[in-house]
Amino acid sequence: MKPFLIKLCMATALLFVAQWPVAAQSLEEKLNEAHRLLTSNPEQSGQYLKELELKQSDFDVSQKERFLLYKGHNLLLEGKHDESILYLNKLLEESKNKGTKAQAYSMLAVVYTNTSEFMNAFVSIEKARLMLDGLTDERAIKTVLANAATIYTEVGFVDKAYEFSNSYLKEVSKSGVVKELCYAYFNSGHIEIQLQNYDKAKDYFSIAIDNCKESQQELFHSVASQELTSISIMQKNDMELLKKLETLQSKIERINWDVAETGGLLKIAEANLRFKKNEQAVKYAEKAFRAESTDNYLPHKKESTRILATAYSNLGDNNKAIEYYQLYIDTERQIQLQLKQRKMAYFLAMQSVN
Amino acid sequence: MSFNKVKKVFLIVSILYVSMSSGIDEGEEALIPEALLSELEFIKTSNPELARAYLEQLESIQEELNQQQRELFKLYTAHSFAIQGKYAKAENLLIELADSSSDPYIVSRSYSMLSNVFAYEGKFQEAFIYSAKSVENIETLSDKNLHKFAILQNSASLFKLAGLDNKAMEYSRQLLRIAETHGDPLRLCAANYEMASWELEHSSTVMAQSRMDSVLNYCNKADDILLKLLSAEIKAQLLLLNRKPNKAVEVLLEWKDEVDQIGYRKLKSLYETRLSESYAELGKYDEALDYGLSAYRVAKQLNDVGMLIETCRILASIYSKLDELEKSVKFYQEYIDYEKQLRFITNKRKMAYYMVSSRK
Repeated sequence: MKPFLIKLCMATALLFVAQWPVAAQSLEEKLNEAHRLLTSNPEQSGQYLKELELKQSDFDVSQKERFLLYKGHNLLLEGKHDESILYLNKLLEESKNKGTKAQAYSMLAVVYTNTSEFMNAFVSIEKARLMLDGLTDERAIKTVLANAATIYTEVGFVDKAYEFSNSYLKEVSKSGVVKELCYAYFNSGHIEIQLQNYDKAKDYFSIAIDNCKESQQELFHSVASQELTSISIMQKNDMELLKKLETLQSKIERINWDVAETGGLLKIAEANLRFKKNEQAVKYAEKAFRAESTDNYLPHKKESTRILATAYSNLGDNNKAIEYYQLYIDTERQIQLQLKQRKMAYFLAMQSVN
Repeated sequence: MSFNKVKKVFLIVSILYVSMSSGIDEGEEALIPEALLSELEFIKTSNPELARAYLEQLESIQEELNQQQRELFKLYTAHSFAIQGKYAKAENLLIELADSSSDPYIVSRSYSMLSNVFAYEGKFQEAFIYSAKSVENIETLSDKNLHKFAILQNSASLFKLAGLDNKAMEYSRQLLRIAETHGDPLRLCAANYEMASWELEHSSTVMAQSRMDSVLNYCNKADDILLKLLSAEIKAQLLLLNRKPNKAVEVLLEWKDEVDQIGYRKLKSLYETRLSESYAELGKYDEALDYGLSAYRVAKQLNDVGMLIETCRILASIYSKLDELEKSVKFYQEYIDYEKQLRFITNKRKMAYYMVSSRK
């Protein structure tokens, strides 16, 4: 699975998990169960949806819409993008409910982002955003905002991500659902790091940690704790905190989320570099560089080559240092090119929608 | 504050107006107020000294000026203050002008100029506030009016400077539309040049290639030396992208003397960077190094972070080819440091825009 997809799944997971009890076998109950298991157990959710698909003629309008939405989501998680698009488009054609359509558009945007069809992704998310105007359906609002924040973070539009992430934070603060607060503060902290606003990031991660703990979101809890520790190392130069980073890394490795794992390795490598433990920095950065997920995730490739280049130059191995500096520059160029192509796609998308 | 792109803004702003000057020298007969003001519009950035001389002349006959002329006089005086770095004076004058004038063109233009003054000072929140004010009534202003073109151009420059490319592109497209309506070669040259820059930045070489014909055609007709130099540089960029470094060197060397004469350090640095890159591609590292180091020194003097990133990258690569590894590592590390600095600056500017737009 692509790292990006995993990340998005994590984000949307929070919005859909466990709102109904484990169920009996009526249509409604099966729908609820398919929804509950959507991200925690996509395979089982898919089984329910297959059964439900045979009984479509018995659905009322609302059930039909929910079925199409869950099916689209389930297929997305399975990586069956074309099929997911078909179901979501069917929902968009048939539904008259603004909230449902907004959710469908935002999910469609996620699918298109996964398939790197950015123009379509931006058009879809913008359509979803426009539908928020006057909408009162809380779940739809939160889904659109969360998906928009995640998409814009992933494509590298920090300012747009910031905008949606702030709106999402405001929205989830109203209802105070801890699971949502966990993700919202985590996401905002992540964006503040990109903006190099470290004090603000610290505040957000601290709140995220409390909410993630309460809602038992172990992964977000560990990653937020690691982010917080990294900032403290940077600000206090306290070598003791390095151990804490490593302990948290073991927890993340147990959860088995590849992108978070590589992110953790890079934090440990960077901390070692800061404490002039260059061999250790090389060890961790090389592991991150060679991780399978790094090939598909340029920001990690860039960060690992930067650390390796600097550490090797500190160790006096200029040949190795230059090799990694050149890789760093190539990666940066690829990132910039990607970003510019996405900006152009965004520009054209906004022209076509507005 | 980094002025990495500000100089480019000055250049671009100036190119619009230079060739429209009638070429009257300081020594020639004194001009009437109307003519002086018209001249000022075109030379105020490209020839600040002459602009100051004109303003002094106008100051001495202030009482003879009518309301419209007095307002233009204030506008150009504020511009002159800004060019000299007297930002507070420029701001006060422009705010006073925007508050007191009943001419919608002057009001919008004052806000627009104010916006750029704040941007030069690194005060991006204020810059975006006044930029928004300047375009508030832009639809009601006539496309034929020079002020409208200048306002849109200032907006494009501001958003480009802040890294908000999509907004900047919107304004660039509007400029092109107005220029096409006008048919005036100078504006067409400037607007097409802007679009070609965007297309090159986005690596749309095919689009830039077809745009290049328009740029060269209109810039030749406009008969403006600065425009010709800029369009030659962009042509060299395109040749480099198409892996024709030999041709790029030819184009750049053809104009190099003119570049040295005209005295814009930013342009000199730009040409030398491109020459360094081209020679490096050809494996002529001694020439590449000479031009690269010279461009690097100028970029340092100007504190031009964007240009420093580019020169450090080229120099690091040349030194590694020459097997001077320590020097190569030094420039690579500098590249990384400047890149981080630029990312930080750009993000802050984007956030300033977000803060301003979310207040609405």
